[in-house]
Amino acid sequence: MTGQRSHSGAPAGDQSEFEDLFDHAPVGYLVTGLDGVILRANTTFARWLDEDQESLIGRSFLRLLPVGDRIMFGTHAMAQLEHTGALNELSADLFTRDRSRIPVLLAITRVQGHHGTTDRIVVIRATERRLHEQELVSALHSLQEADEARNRLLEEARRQAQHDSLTGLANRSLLQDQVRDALIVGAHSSTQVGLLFCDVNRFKRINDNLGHTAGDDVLRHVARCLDQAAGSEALVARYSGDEFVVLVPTIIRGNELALIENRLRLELASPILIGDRRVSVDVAVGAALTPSTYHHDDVTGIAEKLIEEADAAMYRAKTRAHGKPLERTKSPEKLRLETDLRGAAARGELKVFYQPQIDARNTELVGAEALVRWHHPELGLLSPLDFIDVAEDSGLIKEVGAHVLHTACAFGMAMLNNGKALEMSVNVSAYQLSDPEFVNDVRKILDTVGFPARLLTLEVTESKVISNTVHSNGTLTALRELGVHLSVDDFGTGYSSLSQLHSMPVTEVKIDRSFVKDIDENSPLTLITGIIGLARGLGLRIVAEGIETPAQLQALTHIGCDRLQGYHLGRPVDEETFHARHY
Amino acid sequence: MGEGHFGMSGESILRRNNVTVLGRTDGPVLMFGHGFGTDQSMWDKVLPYFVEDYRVVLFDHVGAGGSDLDAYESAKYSSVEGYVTDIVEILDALDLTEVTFIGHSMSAMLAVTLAAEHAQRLRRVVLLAASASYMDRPEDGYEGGFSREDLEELFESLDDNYVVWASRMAPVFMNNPHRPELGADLANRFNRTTPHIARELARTAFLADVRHLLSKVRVPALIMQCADDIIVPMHVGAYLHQNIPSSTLVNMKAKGHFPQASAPEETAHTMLRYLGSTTPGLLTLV
Repeated sequence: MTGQRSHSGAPAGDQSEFEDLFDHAPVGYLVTGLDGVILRANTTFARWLDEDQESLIGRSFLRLLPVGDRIMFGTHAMAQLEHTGALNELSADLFTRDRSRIPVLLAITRVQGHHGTTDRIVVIRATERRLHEQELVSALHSLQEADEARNRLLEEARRQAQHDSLTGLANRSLLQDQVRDALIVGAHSSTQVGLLFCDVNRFKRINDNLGHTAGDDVLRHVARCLDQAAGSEALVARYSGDEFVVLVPTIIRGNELALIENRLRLELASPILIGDRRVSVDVAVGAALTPSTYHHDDVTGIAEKLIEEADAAMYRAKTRAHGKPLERTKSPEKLRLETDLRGAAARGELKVFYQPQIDARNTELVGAEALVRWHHPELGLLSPLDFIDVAEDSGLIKEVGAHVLHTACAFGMAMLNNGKALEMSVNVSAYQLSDPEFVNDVRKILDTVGFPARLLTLEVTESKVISNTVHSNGTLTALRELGVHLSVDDFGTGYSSLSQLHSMPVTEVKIDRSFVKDIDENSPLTLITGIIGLARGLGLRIVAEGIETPAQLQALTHIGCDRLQGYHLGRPVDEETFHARHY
Repeated sequence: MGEGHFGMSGESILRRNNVTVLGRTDGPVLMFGHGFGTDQSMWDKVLPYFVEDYRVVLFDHVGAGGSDLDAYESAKYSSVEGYVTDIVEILDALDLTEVTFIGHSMSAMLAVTLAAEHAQRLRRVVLLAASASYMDRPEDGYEGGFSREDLEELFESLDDNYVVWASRMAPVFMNNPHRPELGADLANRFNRTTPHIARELARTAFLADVRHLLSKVRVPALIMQCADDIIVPMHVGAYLHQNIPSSTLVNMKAKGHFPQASAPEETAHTMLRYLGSTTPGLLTLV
């Protein structure tokens, strides 16, 4: 720029002096439009950037800033400039032509002129100052780090006060706080709070026999399993000694507590090694839920009551599973079977065999009864008679039952996929029927496997169906609603009154083998004919099992049975053999 | 409902977000959301156009302006959702429905999320200097204006320089007529505590990607695209318009990223014209 422009009243010499002052001042001068486009730049600025003065005109000032500064400028500095019309001492870097950076300070003023609004930018080299700033920033960083370290220590101290040092779980006082908090939230949002109270079975015996270190190992093991089972929304606390509590602050699904308990039992399924001994650990679990509405005035009271309730439920569960709690005596054989049965399904020791069921009218294969066998690593092949009592007694029947049901459904599904619709009959114990989760478990297995409910029949022993009428009626109805068939096993041996049977949602009876055994060429068929007549009167499907001779087959085919099963028609065999033999 | 969030009364939510309610109490509700780097005072110049006929709700995002910095939680605010939750809580606390949410810059992303996920609370949204993703997405050819490397450099320079920046920028937040109580003490606190917040906020804003929500916007949307916006490239307005079902695109004469401050009249009139139309969605057909 040479002194071409002249303002009225200003001598030409002064003008060029001002121009010179502008161009060669020890600071950079810029004029930009509101969009940041450079309208004018002085020589000093161009020299610093190693750019040609003319070539800067029309370029965006913002593009001279490295992208980080540019974004900060665009989001922060521009906002202030729009707002207040001025900015002072803004730190930034500028790119020179060869992309090296020079630290500068910017002062910007927005000016209304003859030709519209422009920004005047004064640029000061700030290498020294930037060094100071950097020192300041690093001092601040270390201050912050010290602050953070202090906070971490405080946090750690707080954590320790609220946690159990052996297991790392929340302690009783934190649990009580959290239960109270959850109750307040629950009262506001009308959601339920759930608790599980867990007590380690025979913990005293473990402690006495194996020592306190072993006891501690067991507690840590249970803590880990609980932690795994409970999920991230729940709080697991060590309540006292061998008692643990799981708090689920918001029950989302109705069966949430049962799901946690199931997961816990799975986690606990395999024995742990203490020293050189395998120790099976299991727990008694009780659950409690807040009522659907309650007032949150006395959360401390409700919290206590809720914990007490879960504790009482645990105690009841213990009684149910073991007879009198803590005083049970078991034969060493049974104890051993119990220990070994724990996790047997997961270890692949439980095998399911299938015995064919034949349509009496045309002798076609229509179904199979699933029967479990236990390949005990030392005792060999065990039939259900050998271990079902132990399974029921210990609660392991749930695990065993689920395994058999899943396996049978999966086999049925595999057959179905091969184009053969085979009905599967699976035995269910009274213990399973009394489990409120049972219907859900069945539904889940069917869903997982994809096996149609109409192809599944659950067999329940007559005496058990009847004795549990009141309790399990809801369960049976719910199972029917799923589409599953229900069969009364060992029909004729129980004390069933017909009126009771009439009111139950069963679809099939299985005539007990004792009636079949009595059939021979010479004896009359009066009794069994009567039984069949009764069942037919109720509209039930009739299955006869235990058929071992041609005579029995002959007789039963003619007196109105729908289906037939027995050694004479096919023994229980494994999947491969079943498949090879029948298809 | 008196309480929008358990443990936090409506009142403390309003305090947390430094909520200001202005204008005609029985008027239709306009809620203004500010962007990264600013606070509610950014709307000052346009407010006179609205307060006579509308009920105006202003707030500061947690971490900005006069918000409660103690309420800042890294985990919550590391995604757009955390900020959206706050806005829904403010709506609950004030019991607002049929709201027109006007979002500038990062708040326009929140507007998109609100309109996709909480449409029942909204009447319309206005997206001012908006982007669906500031970052380029080379995998599908979207150009947001900044490459991954650019943004890494931004985050790095925030680490190194934010304290210095903040010390310069603080006065803008002090210059708020609605909050005369802000004093030097708060300014100091601001300087001391915000670097990590700014760092995280920058990540949340600049790495966010709401493109998948555009087609789910359930209310009419006005897109106001500025010329020469250093933050949002010109083609982004058209991109938003193409992808938001009943949207109207207005290319403004205003230049830069802050039309509500640099061109308040044009900005306000554009919005008023849109707010006054009875079938805003149909404007796109004309």
